[in-house]
Amino acid sequence: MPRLRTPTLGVVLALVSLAGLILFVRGNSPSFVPTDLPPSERQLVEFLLLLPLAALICCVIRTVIGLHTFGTFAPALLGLSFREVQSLAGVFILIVVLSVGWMTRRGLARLNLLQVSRSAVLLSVAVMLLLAYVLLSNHRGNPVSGAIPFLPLVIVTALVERFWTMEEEDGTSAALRTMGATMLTSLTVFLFVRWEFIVRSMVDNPELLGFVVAAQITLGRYTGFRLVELYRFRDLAKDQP
Amino acid sequence: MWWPLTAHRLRSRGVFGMNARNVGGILRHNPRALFPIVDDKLKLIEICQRIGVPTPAVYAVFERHGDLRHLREVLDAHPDCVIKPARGSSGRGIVLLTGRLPAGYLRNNGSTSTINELRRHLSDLLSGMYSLGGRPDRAIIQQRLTTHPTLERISYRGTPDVRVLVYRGEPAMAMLRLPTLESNGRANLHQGGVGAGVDIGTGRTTRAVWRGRSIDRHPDTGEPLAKRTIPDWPAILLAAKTIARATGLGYVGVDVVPDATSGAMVLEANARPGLAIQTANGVGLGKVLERIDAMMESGSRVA
Ligand SMILES: Nc1ncnc2c1ncn2[C@@H]1O[C@H](COP(=O)(O)OP(=O)(O)OP(=O)(O)O)[C@@H](O)[C@H]1O
Repeated sequence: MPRLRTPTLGVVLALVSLAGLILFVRGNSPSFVPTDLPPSERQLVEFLLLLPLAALICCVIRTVIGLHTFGTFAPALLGLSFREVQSLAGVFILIVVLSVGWMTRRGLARLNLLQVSRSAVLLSVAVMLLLAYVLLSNHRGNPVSGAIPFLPLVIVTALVERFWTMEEEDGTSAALRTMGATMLTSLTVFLFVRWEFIVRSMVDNPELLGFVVAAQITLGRYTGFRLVELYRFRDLAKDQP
Repeated sequence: MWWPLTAHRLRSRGVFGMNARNVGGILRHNPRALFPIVDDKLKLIEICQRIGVPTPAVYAVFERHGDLRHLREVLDAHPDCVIKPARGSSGRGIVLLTGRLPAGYLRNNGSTSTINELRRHLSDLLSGMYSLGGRPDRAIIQQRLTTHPTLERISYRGTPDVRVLVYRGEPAMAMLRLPTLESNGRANLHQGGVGAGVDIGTGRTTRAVWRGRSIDRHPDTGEPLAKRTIPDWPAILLAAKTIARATGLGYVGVDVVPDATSGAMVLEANARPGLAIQTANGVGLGKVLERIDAMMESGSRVA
């Protein structure tokens, strides 16, 4: 296997030892993230700290497992946003927005609009739905807090647009498969970022980001097979005639 | 239990996975700055015209939505044509027209499309619906190539082409791509086309795959796929090598059509050629590339 000679290993080692050193020197002294942050700031800091981790999970799923998703980091943002909304409600809203968006998209196809306007209309429809949901749950006495803005509507809209394109071009089953992989990836991200231990570790020790980046770099040099390729190339592994 | 074994076997047979292709093939031999030359089919067509490699005639190029009001004139002048996105991939967005009818335009699959349907398709295309990364795109209206008689019985309603993988200037592997009912006139495997491995030395097909599995006969015509001789083989190899040299890419897939009347015609080149060519040939790419590397090192060039 031909490889480029690059200082990858050096960079990874430097990152790991730097992060490890900070971790060690800091010992039990307080984290870089103050504990008395106002809740909204804290939410933002958590979101920011978890985003690289979510991206790393997407990298693993793509390069080691080989699942193809709509957009590289869309599942990272989706998974993080599930955390903001209560889990089930988030998934429910997502599914409703996606399916209504998809139906709207079918209708819009007849109107012969330019693509940008079409996406804008989809976005507006998604907003209306979400607004209805927020107002409704408020009315029933359980407000959804300031969480909703984190649901990346633009991403959901892009998902609908891409799903539709793929359905037209490669058939419904291919589109459903990719959507399934996207959801599975988002769910995996969600399972990680809702894990209190992980959130605590990141907030208490932001220097862990060094390890995350090191892992991302290492994955970038992975040249082995993806799990799905073992299935794809199974005929080539058979005893040859 | 089975997959560590599979991985081991695949590795020992030199089979490339996507990651290996990306690092060992593309990152290593294809400088990023050269990608625009092949990512835009119009640029490649220009190169072909400049260095005298045959390529289908371009009847018109649409850039702005407003220009689409001229679509009817263009199509009426050339009702036998192909509409394709300049920056498309995997056959997406390609429409083949075969003639004019009172109700609209006849498509290769037997259906008809009205001028308004085609205009909408082109409008989506210009908006970037089929382009790499969703960027705004241009539409090419191009001469439609036709199937060479020797390949007619293993093609279904479309034009087959040959994908030649050129590594460091040498043809490394080739695959004949055949359209099927499912692929709708396009020969891309991704769309359900058949891929047949080709012996580089003789230009004869060896075996074939469809939807990732081996097959012996064309799924629609029922004709055997192996031991077919590809017409114009030396010209196809020469065109592929010339294009590889002109683009400067060290790991490039060149698509060439053996046209019924004009001979070998270059359709496009691809800086990220897929891995199906391995399955079609039943051979791992790693071994073949190593052989070419060794040949380059020893300085002996085989023409
Ligand atoms: N001028 C043409 N005449 C006849 N058929 C054509 C023509 N251009 C394209 N096709 C058909 O469409 C298929 C795909 O064409 P082309 O290779 O240009 O597209 P692509 O989207 O870039 O695909 P890929 O990137 O997978 O090679 C060809 O295999 C061929 O069957």
